[in-house]
Amino acid sequence: MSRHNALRMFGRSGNPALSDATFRKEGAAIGKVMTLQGTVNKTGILLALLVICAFYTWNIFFQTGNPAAVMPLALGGAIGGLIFALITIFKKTWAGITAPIYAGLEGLFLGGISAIFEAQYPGIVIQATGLTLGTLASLLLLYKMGIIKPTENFRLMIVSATMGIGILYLISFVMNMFGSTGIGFIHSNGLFGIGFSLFVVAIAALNLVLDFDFIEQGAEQGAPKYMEWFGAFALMVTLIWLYLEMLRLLAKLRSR
Amino acid sequence: MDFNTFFFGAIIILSLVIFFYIGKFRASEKQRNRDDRISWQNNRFGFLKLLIWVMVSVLSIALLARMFVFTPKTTEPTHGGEGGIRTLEGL
Repeated sequence: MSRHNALRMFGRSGNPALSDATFRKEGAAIGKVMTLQGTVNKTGILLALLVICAFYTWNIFFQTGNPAAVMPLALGGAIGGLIFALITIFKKTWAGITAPIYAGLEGLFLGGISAIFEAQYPGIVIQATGLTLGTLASLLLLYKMGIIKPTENFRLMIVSATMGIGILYLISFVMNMFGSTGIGFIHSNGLFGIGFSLFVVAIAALNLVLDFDFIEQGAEQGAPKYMEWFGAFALMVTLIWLYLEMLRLLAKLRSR
Repeated sequence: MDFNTFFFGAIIILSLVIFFYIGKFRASEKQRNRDDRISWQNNRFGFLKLLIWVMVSVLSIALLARMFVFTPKTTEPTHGGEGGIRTLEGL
């Protein structure tokens, strides 16, 4: 039996719960299925919403020149964005409503934070945006051409590193709550701090490859239509994280 | 317009054009016809759910500890006038 025949018959994994039909079942039941074009369009909508909301807080900061004027909006956006991200993750069928709200709230947060960074280091925001979108386009090309091949081991490595970074940030945050300086080196502009930021940027960038694969397989296997919003949301989460890490890295480099 | 804005502005426009154009095409055969592809099970953030529960639990415990165990206490000012030193009881 050829390899392709065997794959067609048994699926890509020996575990029946992990067969190719996982996405297809729900999509077929609803009638409308996920497409690549639809996901790209929805990503465009989320990006546009994010930029519009970011301009709002950005303008408030540069009109008043006072960081305190944008902090309530930025913090509200960050906390609200987190809440709507959690809702989207736990309730994927609501992604059509919650993902645009998430993008808008994150826009308020990013606009405020970006304006504060821009006031301190002029020109940093366009650099961070260019590097983030440049990374997105480069990795998309590499993925589509099959140069980067995401496998289960690749996913395991990226997920472990992402969880490690999350736990490190959590420990640093909790230490700050108790009056400690936290894990100093991850915020420093020394060589170790910059090396750490480079590592985090690389992991955030490789998460994009997982997003592309998730979207590609969803469209290939006929996932339901709402998964277009969920795929676009997953891409936005990674892009926002990558942008923030780029900002931090550039700020560390400029402050030396 | 300075060079920084021009250069990175061009990267942004080019990247967006690549994303919106290439994004709608399927990946190459080499990418799709592999037997070691990831089995997503319709779940991009499965691992994150675990991380979220860990984070919420740790943050809740830390917040409660901060509120009830490690409450900052202000000492009474001494006659020497060096009062108001804040100490963290229990540390």
